[in-house]
Amino acid sequence: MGKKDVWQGTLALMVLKTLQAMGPLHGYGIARRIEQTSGDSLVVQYGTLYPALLKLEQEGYIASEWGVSENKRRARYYRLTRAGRKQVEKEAREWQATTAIVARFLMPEER
Amino acid sequence: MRRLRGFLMRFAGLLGMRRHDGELAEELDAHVSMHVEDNVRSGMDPIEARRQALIKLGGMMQSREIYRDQTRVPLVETLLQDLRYGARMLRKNPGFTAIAMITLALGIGANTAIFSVVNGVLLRSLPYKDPARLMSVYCSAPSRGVAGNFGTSPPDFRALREQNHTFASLSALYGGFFNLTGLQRPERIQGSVVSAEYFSTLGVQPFLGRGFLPGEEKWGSHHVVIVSYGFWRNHLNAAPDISNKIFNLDGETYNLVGVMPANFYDRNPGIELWLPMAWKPNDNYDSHNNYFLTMVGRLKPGVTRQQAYSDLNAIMLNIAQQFPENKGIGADLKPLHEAWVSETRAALLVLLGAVGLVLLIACVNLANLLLARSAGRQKEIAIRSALGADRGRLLRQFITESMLLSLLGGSLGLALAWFSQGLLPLAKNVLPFMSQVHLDGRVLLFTVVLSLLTGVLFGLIPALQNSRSRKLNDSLKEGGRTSDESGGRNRLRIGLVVSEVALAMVLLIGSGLAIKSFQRLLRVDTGFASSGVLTFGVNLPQSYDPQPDDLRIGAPPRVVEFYQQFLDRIEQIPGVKAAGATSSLPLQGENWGKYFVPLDRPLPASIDAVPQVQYRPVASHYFRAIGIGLVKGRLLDERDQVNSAPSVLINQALAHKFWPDRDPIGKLILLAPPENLVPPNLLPPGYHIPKMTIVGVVADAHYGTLDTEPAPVVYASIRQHDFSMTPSFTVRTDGDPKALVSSIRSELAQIDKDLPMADVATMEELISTSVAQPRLEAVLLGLFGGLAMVLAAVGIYGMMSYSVSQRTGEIGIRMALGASPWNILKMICKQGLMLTGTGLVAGLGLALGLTRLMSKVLFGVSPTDPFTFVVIVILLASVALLACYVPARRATKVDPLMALRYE
Repeated sequence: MGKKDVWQGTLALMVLKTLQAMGPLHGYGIARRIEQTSGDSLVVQYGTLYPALLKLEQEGYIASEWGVSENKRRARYYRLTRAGRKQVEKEAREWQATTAIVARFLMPEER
Repeated sequence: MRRLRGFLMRFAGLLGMRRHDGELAEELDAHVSMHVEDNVRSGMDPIEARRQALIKLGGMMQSREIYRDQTRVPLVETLLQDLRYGARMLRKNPGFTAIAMITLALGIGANTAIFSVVNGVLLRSLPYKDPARLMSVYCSAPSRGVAGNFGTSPPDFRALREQNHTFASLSALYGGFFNLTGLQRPERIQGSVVSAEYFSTLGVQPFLGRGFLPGEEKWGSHHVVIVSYGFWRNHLNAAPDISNKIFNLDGETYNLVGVMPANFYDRNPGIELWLPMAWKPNDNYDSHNNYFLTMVGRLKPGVTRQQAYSDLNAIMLNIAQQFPENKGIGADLKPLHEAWVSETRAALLVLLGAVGLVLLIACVNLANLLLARSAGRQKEIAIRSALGADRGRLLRQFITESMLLSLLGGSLGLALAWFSQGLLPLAKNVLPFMSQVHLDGRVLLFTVVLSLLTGVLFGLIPALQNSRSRKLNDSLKEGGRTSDESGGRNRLRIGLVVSEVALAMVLLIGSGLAIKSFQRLLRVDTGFASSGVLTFGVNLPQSYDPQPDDLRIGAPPRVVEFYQQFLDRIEQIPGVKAAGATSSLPLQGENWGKYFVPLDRPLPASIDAVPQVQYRPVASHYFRAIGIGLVKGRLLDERDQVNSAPSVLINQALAHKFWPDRDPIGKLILLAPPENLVPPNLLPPGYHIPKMTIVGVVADAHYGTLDTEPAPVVYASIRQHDFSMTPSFTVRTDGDPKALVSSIRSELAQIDKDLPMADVATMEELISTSVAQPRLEAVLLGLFGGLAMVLAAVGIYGMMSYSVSQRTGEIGIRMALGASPWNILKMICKQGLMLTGTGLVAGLGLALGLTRLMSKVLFGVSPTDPFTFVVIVILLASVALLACYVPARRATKVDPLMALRYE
């Protein structure tokens, strides 16, 4: 089975969660972190990551500024805003609730 | 909330306030570099590391595209781009742009101007409270052979007002003129005598003071007056304190009690004051003999017109049972707005239709121009679509361009319309509510929507044509040779020119009909000799007739003396040939009717079978002064004194109606119903209605309008029959009539310094005013027709020039093979005339169908008048020939060598 592309809705939560866990991070770092966390079963492409970052920024959940990376390279760092922190909690709760419901459907029927 | 924020930030991106593309590129570069470094660290060689990084991370360009779309608002952005591009294209072709803008400005400007009038006059509701419930109430008596509607009598009005169940309030009024004295020099003021609830019926309150009280309808308590805002400003210097202001009107004193607001609109804008309607006991006007009151009523909420109709007519029937002279008179009502604008509706709609056609022709013209121009843009279009612009995108760009053009043209048109407002006073006496005509929000909206529609209309066909993909391939293959025209495009252009000619034909025939109708109107024999005649009015106050007596025959001594003395003095003025007076001049309306009973036949059996004719009292040399010729018998003169046998003159229409094949001279008549039909208590014992003798027949003068047949009229001397306290004077002179005014005024002042001279006008001016509406109609339609013709000529010219330029090669070959210039000229003109001929035939068919809509505004001309049709066909054909000739001549100048070399 090949690797899966990340689908849109969940990418936002993954980005927020990553930033919550790791603190300010550049796009590449976020992509790598998501891939690692997924056990390399997901691929994050520019085409999905950067528009998602932009959207989150436009919605005010994250903020960005130019910084210097570990290798002394200029990179744009993203960090969670206060609204973003609340949103992580909210989306995580919703996600858990959703997965719990879906899980019940997938569980073997009790006899 | 979050969405909104995102959207706003996108707009910020649009305005260049946020991140630039460069920033993203830098960010992506950093991303790739970090990835490459990681890959190298894990042992790949640098080239492979980079390749892997790029593969894994997907298309950089796509990513940037998506990103860019997300930072901005693509639709708006392309719109702005298209606008910028369109503006550049327009700047690049100043000639095309100028022609298009002028065409549009004229078309849209004319539409805006006419619509502003339609808006103010027809669409705007009346400026009163809850105007939909306001009704014009009037009487009619079709069973008595009386055509049209007329007013009511004071007793009938009071009965209707008191007994109806369907009106919240019902009011009545009549107009009059009053001599205002005691301020500066005496002045005649136009006023309206109204029932007490007049203002509250309309729902308007005085802006200072109060309205009339019901008690002020009582004779003796009626000396109160309400004035207009304009009067208050001009005569009272806008003094805020209006108490204790006293006026002298017709020699009686009136107390000012109120001032109407500046925006109060009376049906007659000339009215400056209002008086309460009160009747002296036994006043003849306050009887069933006089139907002259206009009624305005406000329906109770929820009451229908039909309910009110039944209600009013039940009351009228009831009245007729008590007063037999009322038999056959019923009441009717219609919405006030309808009553006021019905006369002008047809004329305005014809004008609106005409300007609509002009704009349509302008659109067709522009579509054609755009098509011609776009032939030269084939290459540009092909390249754009090769670079990925889809059809929708191209369409959008073309439509944006044409909308830009139409909006620019529209704003120019709006400016034109704004300037043309200066012409509105020309129509002042023609249309009601002219003061309501402004370029308001609704007109503005109309113009914007019209401009946009216009843009779509003339832009769509060329845009669809241009964005056809098959075309694009072809033109790319041709490597930029743009002159090739497919048959389809040519057919389209031919179709456009043909329809343009057809539309112009319809419009020109319409204007031709209007002009002919107006000429017919001017050629109507007025029945009098208008040149060299001065007219004016004088109002005699009640003091000239202190004890009115209905049974007295003729005017009281003081009035007779005034007429005689004044007219004699006028005739003494050098240059005056004759002077006379009557109650109301020709073309001022058929406004005084009388019963007419010839005694040489059986008397009518009932009062409603008594015929009625127009009546005019005359004094001195009225007929000579106004130029109404004597046909038979003699005129009224010194022989017709108070005590001599009463004589009358009749006009030819009356003679023809009652004595078609006999001589009316010497016949006896009554100007009243036969005595047995008059209610017994009205005639005192021993009184007999005087028998009058017809002594002469005079020519038919038009007292009503020129477009109606002259009514039967009977004339009597003021000494021997009913007279007027508001006479109109006519003075005939050799020279300039207006030069007499000052000397006549000083003669009048010598007789009575308190009498003003009013409504000074020459008879020619009165004729001109009476045909003002048809004239306006003819002038405007002529203007629009001319505009349409020019546009059509430009269309044909454009088409033919284009065709000649297309056929240069062919013409070159023909000439090289020996065709003479004359052959070429014939060939090109034939092509153009075929085009025109098709348009003319189509236009003929259209016109036959459409001009019928004009029949309401035409006089003496059939809507399918063959003469007009033929003249217009010849006119358009010659203009078309001229439009073909110029390009055709150019074709004959083609140098075969040059032409072939270009191939």
